[in-house]
Amino acid sequence: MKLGEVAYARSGDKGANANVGVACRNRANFETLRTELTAERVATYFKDLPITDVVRYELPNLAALNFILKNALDGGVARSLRMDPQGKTLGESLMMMELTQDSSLWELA
Amino acid sequence: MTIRIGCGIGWWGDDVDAPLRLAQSANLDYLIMDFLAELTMSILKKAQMRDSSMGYANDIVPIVAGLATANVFGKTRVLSNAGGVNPISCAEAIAKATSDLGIPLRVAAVTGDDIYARLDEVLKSVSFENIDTGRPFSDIADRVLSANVYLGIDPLCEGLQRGADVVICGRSTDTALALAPLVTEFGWADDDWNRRAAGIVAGHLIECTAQVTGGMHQAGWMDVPGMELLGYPIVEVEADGTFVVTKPEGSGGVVDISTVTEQLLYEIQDPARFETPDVTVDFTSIHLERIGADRVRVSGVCGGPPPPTSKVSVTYSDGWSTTLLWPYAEPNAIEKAEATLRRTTTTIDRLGLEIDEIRTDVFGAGAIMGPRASKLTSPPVEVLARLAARSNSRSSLERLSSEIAPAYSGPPGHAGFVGGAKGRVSQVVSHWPALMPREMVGTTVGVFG
Repeated sequence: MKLGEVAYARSGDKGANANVGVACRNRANFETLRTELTAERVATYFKDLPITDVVRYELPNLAALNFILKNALDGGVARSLRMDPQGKTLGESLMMMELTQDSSLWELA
Repeated sequence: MTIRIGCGIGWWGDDVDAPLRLAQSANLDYLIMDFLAELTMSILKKAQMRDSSMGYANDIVPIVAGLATANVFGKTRVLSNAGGVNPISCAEAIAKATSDLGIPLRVAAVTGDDIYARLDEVLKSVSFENIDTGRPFSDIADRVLSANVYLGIDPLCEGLQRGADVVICGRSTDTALALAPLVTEFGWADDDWNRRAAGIVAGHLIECTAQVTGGMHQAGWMDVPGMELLGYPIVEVEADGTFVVTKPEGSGGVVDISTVTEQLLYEIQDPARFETPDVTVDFTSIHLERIGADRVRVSGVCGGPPPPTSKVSVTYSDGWSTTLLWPYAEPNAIEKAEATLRRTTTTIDRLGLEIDEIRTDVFGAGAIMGPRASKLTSPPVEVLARLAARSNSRSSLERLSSEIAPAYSGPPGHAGFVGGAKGRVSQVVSHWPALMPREMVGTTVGVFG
């Protein structure tokens, strides 16, 4: 089961940092998402990027988490030689992450 | 009383027909247009250096002329940061164009954000240390292209109070374009943090136009109706600060909890402290409720005082870059791309070109996703070889940029040029975020027409 089945995301840039906001498709999954999607897990998933730190913020009102990926954009939109210097695909990519927790923990409706 | 604000432009390059389409399909009190991204200011500064009457997003002039011809003014007023680094010339051009049409408008110009000319004076008491990296300003002091401090709503409100049909500013916050008319209409007090915060959230939700009405809709883009022409967003704001996000009836797209949530999460940092010069907003207080088709009610927004400093956006020259592309097809498409990339990097060494950073990728084999890409189950039928390079030596990059055409002396089946037989060499303009005390910021409002 992939994260995109229970959540959706939007990502973008702030200088050389990227943010990835992740929200639950079903609010009932927020606690399970908090357990599943730690800052460490996100940092490991994006280990190919030159990230120096991942900070996680919580928005329980929106059943959402916001991740700041420090220096993920390798200098930022003007300087980076990578594709996607604004980090628009990071949310899409994260939604392809395999979930590790038991599938029965997730409300799919 | 309900105030209806629509956003017709979300960046310079957005659909220039959208503002008129929105104004004609929605009964707007205010139409806002956001043209500026961090690096847009440097492009405009360069344009102004070539011609002192330029330096603004000149698309605004025909857009406002079109709105005037369609009799939008009278009922609807316009606020825009199209002024770039030259709001006065922008306001004068709009006043002249509409006057020439026989529809004279009062156009206000807000100045004071552009601190490029007074940088030496400001630097006597402010460090301008990079707030992301901590680096000292001396790193870039001799390469600065533009310097602008983010303005809040006060000068925009003054323009509206002086009866302007159109208020033009440069680098104000994007969200101020929405908060200023709300404070002007409802008279929200300077320390009415919660309602001011609600106005900022309203601005944040609409300032990227269709990103809240079905554009970039990760939660379900394949099910968005009318994706070919998305309706642009409207907020209907009440005096208590609650508001409804919607779009013109019958227009393409969708507004629901997921589109609004996506845009709330767009490019934010600490959600509990979204800082603007007018108010600090707590995004964890926002309550969303779907109250009808394409209607989401936003309530409960809390805010607090703004920080004592304002953000300064400095841009500086950071060398040159170029990108080269070569298309190949099967058989052995990846191997052909790799051979051409190898050939080109070898050429760089042979010619002794000064290249500071180089990157090679093969589109179709993980150029975007890298090692996160799914494993290929069969070789791709077509790929694009890509080589990107950055250098402080423009001449080295100019020489490198002519290395596309010799691909014919490499592997077979080069399928033609993508974007020209030479790479385009561009100046790299980087962004340097800094802070300055708000009391050092001074603004002026002039009214034309």
